Amino acid sequence: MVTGSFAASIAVLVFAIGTGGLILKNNLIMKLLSLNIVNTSSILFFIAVSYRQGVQAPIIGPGKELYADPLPQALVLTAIVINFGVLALSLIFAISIVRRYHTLDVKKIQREARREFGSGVED
Amino acid sequence: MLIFLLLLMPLTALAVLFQNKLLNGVIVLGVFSLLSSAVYFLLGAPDVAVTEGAIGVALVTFIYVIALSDQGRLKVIGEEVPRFLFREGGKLKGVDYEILQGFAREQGLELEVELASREQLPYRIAEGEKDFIAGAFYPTPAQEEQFSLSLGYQQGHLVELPLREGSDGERIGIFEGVPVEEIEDNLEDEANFSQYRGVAEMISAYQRGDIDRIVIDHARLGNVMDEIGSEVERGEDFPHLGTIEYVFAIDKEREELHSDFQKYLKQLLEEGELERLIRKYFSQTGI
Amino acid sequence: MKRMTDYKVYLVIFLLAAFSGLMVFALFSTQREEEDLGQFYLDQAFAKTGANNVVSAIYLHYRAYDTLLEVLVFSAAVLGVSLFARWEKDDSGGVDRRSSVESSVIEGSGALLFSPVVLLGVYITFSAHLGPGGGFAGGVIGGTAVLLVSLAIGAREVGSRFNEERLKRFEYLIIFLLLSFVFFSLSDWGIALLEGMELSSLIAINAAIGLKVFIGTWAVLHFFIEHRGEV
Repeated sequence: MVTGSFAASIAVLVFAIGTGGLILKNNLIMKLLSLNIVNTSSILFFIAVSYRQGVQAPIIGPGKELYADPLPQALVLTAIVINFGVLALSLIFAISIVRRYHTLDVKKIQREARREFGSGVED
Repeated sequence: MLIFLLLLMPLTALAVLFQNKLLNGVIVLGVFSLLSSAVYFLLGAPDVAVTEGAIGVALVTFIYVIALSDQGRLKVIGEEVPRFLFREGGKLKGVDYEILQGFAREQGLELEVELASREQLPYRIAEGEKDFIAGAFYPTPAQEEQFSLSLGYQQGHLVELPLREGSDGERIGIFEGVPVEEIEDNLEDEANFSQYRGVAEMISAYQRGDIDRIVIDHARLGNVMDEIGSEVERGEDFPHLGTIEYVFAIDKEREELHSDFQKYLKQLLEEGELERLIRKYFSQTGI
Repeated sequence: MKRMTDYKVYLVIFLLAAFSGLMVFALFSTQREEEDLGQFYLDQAFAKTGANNVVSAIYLHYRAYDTLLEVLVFSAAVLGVSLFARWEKDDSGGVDRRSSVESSVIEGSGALLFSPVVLLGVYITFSAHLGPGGGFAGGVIGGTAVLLVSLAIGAREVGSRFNEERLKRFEYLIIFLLLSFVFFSLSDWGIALLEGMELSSLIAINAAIGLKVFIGTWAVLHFFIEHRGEV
């Protein structure tokens, strides 16, 4: 049977996949997508924690017994919206960068930026 | 059911990362969000499921698609020159325009042309804002270093205009990039050349009385005469002083763009398309 | 994935393995027998707020400040988008600016679906205390309705209706009202004053959030559509 721990493990696995993608991919947009995956996985982790076996949604109604833990869900709701805000803004920045450097490759952008701004550009 | 969906999640996440095209990756991310929304619901969190569905599936995918959908535009900055790049009835036409349009279509890009004065052209490319310079363009020697130039696709004829009535003055205004030596051979008298970067500069110099005559390529005759309101008739035989080649200029960094465009121009030349275009626009007044 | 530097791959694999191991270990080894906070909410929420949906009760009443700040963060993101999404607007006369796929299916269905989607958004916003949903989901759904319409009618039409100044003022008004109301209703004398009206205040907060998020989503979509990027 599915337990919260199983779902949580899956969440951790997806988190690992997302982080791997974040580090290893060179394309700027791919990095953003990986970030999205990481966000989703952390949300899944919280939901998994709030889950109890054979559970119902935390909406009080007649004849229901076991409810899921509502607290993590409320917190996670906030997280989804904030993630979206961060994502939209970073996409705008990505577009600005692309307009400037004409490439999505992070290495090329670093090179160009270093050339333009001198050695102040951190790796 | 839940186990199945849960197991599907890492696979979908991997699928997002293994896409080659960005747009495909975004769509798969939408599927991933949908999957996770279903999982949230089955784990007893319908609020979160609805919110994730609305935001993660719809909004995020929309935003990405909108941002990525314009798979690049070909941005051109050009000087308005009759027959090469001009506006008629709200639409752009001309030899240059059609050449660029064909190229954009071939590359799967959207063409976007902005008109500006000649002085501004090099700056707009320098910042990477525009890809091409067009509009019967011929470069100064400095600009030849600065940009990658395409093949010359048309010859421009330099003519000399006496601008002041009855003036036989020796002060001549020319554009930068016009080969001075070639002209000097063809002139009868000694001349003083002043170089200008654009039509506006030259015209104000004329109006100040700094120059008496202008040597200009035939294509731009119209521009100058419109401004000054010269009474010299068009189509009159002006003394021919030399030739220059019109090219397109590309940012030096864009090597791939340059080689693609060269190939394209070569193809136009070989297939006779170029001739057809020129005949189409130059059929009224022969050069 | 091509062109990966060797050391990075190994580093990543090691880090992730270590992290995952740690997480799973922590997960299975914690034995929390203490008071279950969630149960407390489940028992009390309906009596206190009159809302069936405990999650809504939590983030609209018990943790209303969190929600408030979240709305502010969202507004900050929208503000950021509106400020930064201003690239050189190339106004060229020679480009056919209509979308390449002029499908009558999209046009027809887009216009048709606008009302139901908005209705859905409103419903989800206002029924948050009974079922799933809430201001955020409802607002976003309303925002996507605007997107539908701009697909159907044309982005320029919809874009021209986006009066930035007025919308900004309206948005800030809502935020101000929202803030003051939440602070009011959660203060001591506010609670006494609103005795018996808790559910209504809940719904009011939800409605304000929904409206705010709707405007914000519309703004974000508008700026994205208007300044499509070259990628």
